[in-house]
Amino acid sequence: MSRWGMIINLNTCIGCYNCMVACKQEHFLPMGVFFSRVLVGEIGEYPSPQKLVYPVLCNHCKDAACVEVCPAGATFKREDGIVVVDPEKCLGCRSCLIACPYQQRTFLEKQMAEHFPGQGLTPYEEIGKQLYPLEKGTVVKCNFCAERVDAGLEEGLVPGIDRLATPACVISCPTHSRHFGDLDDPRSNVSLLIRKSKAFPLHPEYGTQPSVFYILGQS
Amino acid sequence: MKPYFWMMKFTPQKEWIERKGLLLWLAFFFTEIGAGLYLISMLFDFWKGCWVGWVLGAILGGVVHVLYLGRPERAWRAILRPGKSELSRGVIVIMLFSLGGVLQMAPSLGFFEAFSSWVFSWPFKSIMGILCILMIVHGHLTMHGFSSIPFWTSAVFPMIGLTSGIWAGSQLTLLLVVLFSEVGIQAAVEPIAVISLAAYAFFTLYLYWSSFESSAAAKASAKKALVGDLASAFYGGVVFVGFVIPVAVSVLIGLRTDFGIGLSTLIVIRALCALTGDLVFRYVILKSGKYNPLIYSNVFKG
Repeated sequence: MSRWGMIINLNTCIGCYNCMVACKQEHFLPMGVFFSRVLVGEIGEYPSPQKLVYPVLCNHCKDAACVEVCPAGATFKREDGIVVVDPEKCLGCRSCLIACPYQQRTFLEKQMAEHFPGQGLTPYEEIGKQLYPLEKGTVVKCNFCAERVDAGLEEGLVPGIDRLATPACVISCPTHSRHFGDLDDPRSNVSLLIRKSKAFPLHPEYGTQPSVFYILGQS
Repeated sequence: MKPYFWMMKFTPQKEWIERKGLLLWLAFFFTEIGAGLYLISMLFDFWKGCWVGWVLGAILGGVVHVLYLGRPERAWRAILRPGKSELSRGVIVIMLFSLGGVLQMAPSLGFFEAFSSWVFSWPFKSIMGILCILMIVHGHLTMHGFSSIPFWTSAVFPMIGLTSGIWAGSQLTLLLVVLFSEVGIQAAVEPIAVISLAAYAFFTLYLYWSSFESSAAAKASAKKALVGDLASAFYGGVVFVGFVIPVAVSVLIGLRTDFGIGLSTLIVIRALCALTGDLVFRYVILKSGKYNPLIYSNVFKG
């Protein structure tokens, strides 16, 4: 069985926020809700400061803290390693939100409101409501575009290689800084990149074994 | 904090203390003091106290727990994973406590009197006692399970929950003793109150001292309470109202010196201070919980 994972090359990432926008578009996310974010920070001091740009998303950890603490079994790990939330089962206790050391979950406090108050939903928002009926009072998070991956696999496509079977943030990256593939396949694009570039996960000391890796400083 | 600085410094947890999260703070408080009151009252067969404890812990605590949820109509799902989730275990304990409490107190109202010898026996009391203790530590134990917030993972965290619950329970019991004029119990509860207050103060001191020797995030949490924006709540609410006044009153009671105020008034003052201090301390603990930053940056210090 596959274990889907992602690699983000920080050397080539230009911090354009395209992944953030593509993700919001793909999932019809309401205002203030992000599955994918770009963190910007600085280290060092004048005359040699360095700017850090870290795109972050749910790490779909192998040993996910959010799955462990969910009292309702609403957060679970699929066989392919993607951690998802079942909106029909989530009771909104927010234990998973507290448990995630990467802070990649959002509690949907209000029902999705129209973008133009008082003018009703736009056609785009209506489609979103049908495709992704995000439920008020539940927790939402990145699902590695599982619907794209599943649909692609059904059509015989390869996630990470074929655009239709690959997460939106990966295919929208203008500098090809994001890579998606099977971590359990030693010959996959991501496995080869991890070995070649000494890719690392964020905070491996948390012991959750993230499926998102980063490349920095190695070529 | 600007959006692009998100997770660049020690980020405070907000979900369990802001907006609807305030309900969880109250839910933990009510279950703790309710179970504490029930435990102390049951030890001395003070059944009026047990009734109030049951209402506070099971009804008020339970209802506020449910109201806190984003989808209260699915609350029953919270009992599905007791093997994994501390919240699940806590909810099951509250349910068992509710049921056991009804069984135990029904004979005092004239119902199921045939069972009275069984429910007032020590084996049943022991079961209820264990349930009370589990309910008292429920809040702190739930928080203790989240390694993402290092301040809450201190080993003394459950002990603070236990001692504060017994302390608050003893004070509520004494308050009801005064209200219902059953002064005979007062002398027996007093040693429990003093010992639990001393233990509570010791574990609280230890928590803050050990946090400074612990991880950077735990230290940042402790600093938020001691010298940060929660300092006034900590020193005013927790230290002065929650510890200093009760200690002073306990000394006066111990020395049998009431300066003409009256023993009952002293007991009421101490109980109200104890409950206020406990409530504020829970707020400070929840509010000062901080995550480690995802990316370290020297733009921010601490």
